[in-house]
Amino acid sequence: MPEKVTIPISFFEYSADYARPIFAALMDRAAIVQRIFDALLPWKLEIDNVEPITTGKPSEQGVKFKIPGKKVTFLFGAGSCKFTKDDADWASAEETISILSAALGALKASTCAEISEQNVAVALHIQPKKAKFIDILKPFLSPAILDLEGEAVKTGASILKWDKRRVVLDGSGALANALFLKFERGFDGGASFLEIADQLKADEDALFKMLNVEEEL
Amino acid sequence: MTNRAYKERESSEDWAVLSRAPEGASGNGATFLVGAWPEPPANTTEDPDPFSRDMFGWSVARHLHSTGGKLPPREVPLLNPLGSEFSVLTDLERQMAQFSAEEEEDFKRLRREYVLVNGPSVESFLRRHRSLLEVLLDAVAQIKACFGAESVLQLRLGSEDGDAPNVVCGFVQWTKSLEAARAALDEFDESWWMNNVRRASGRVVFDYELA
Repeated sequence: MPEKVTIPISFFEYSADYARPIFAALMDRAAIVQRIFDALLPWKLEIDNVEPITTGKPSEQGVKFKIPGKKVTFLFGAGSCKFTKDDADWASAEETISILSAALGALKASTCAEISEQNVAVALHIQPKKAKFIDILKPFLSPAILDLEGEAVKTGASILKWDKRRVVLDGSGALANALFLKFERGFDGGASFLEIADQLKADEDALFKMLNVEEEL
Repeated sequence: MTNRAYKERESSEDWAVLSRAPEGASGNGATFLVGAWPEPPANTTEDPDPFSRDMFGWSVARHLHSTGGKLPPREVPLLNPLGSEFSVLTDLERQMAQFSAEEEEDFKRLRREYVLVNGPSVESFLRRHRSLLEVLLDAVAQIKACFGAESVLQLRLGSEDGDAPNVVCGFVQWTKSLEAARAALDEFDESWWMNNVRRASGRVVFDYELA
């Protein structure tokens, strides 16, 4: 019987690298900003939620749009763009994809950017209803390391990386009696948002099954 | 004195003073809206030195009303963020920001210490009854000392009269015997809770729950 869990904190991040840098995104960017602003207007984007980022390396600079009501940000720069969503869940996935599509579509239309690679990450703080988090975590910790001390381990982490995938399983540093699970995956530039969402859902389902947990909705 | 301006707002009961601090030794030349004063009570008397004290009291308003809004006949650093009496306003903002940041840190700690059932409701309740947050955080070490360091603590709203939530309940999720739970709760009551219960104003309950 899977352990029932809640997910009080969750986070979704999408980033896309351009095939080659677009310097108009750093310099002559008024038209780009206007186009993205107009595209995000249906979600009540306001002028004060548009912020130029002028610090850091050139690849880190750009313009950031925030939609506080949707807990969404979109940042575009000369080499890549990044979209984040707090409190992400599958119930709001459709709307999240709509916002991302609108922002990225406007960016592509105004810059002719070609996306070479897309990366997505989902981070979840998972709180069991009854079990102790360490009992869920422990099977994934190496017995050899667990035996280092003669007392019960308090927390531990597993980080696994593949060519286009990465999984982090850890104790939560933000919530009491909770796990932290982050899974990331890379996609080529042509993958559609629907394909990406389907793959993420499949990844999440597989990880929850492995952990023997089930979200209480 | 030319670097200052007084602005009368909608009526004589609603004054605001707009000041440009002089550039140089006592200010930075910036313009600030430093405050609004209602008309002083009729029984007040003229203060010979309106800017000498009591910036939130009646002295400034009294002077403005009695002089028809004219400036006092002396150079007074009306606004100096670096040290005059008016700097208390900017300091107040800083203090409020600091208080807010500290409160957010306390909430972060609360989430790390307690499992919040229906978290947004619990947090909303605690924001309305701010003194409870400190009690709950102080209780953690005492609970763990009595129930065990690995105890899982749960926080949820409850109601003592079956109506709207009016208490926050801290439950220790207990997996051992009932007798041991009772003994631990007695120890917690006697060693700490009895001495601190007044701080909670009757809005916090601690108990155990057999898991």
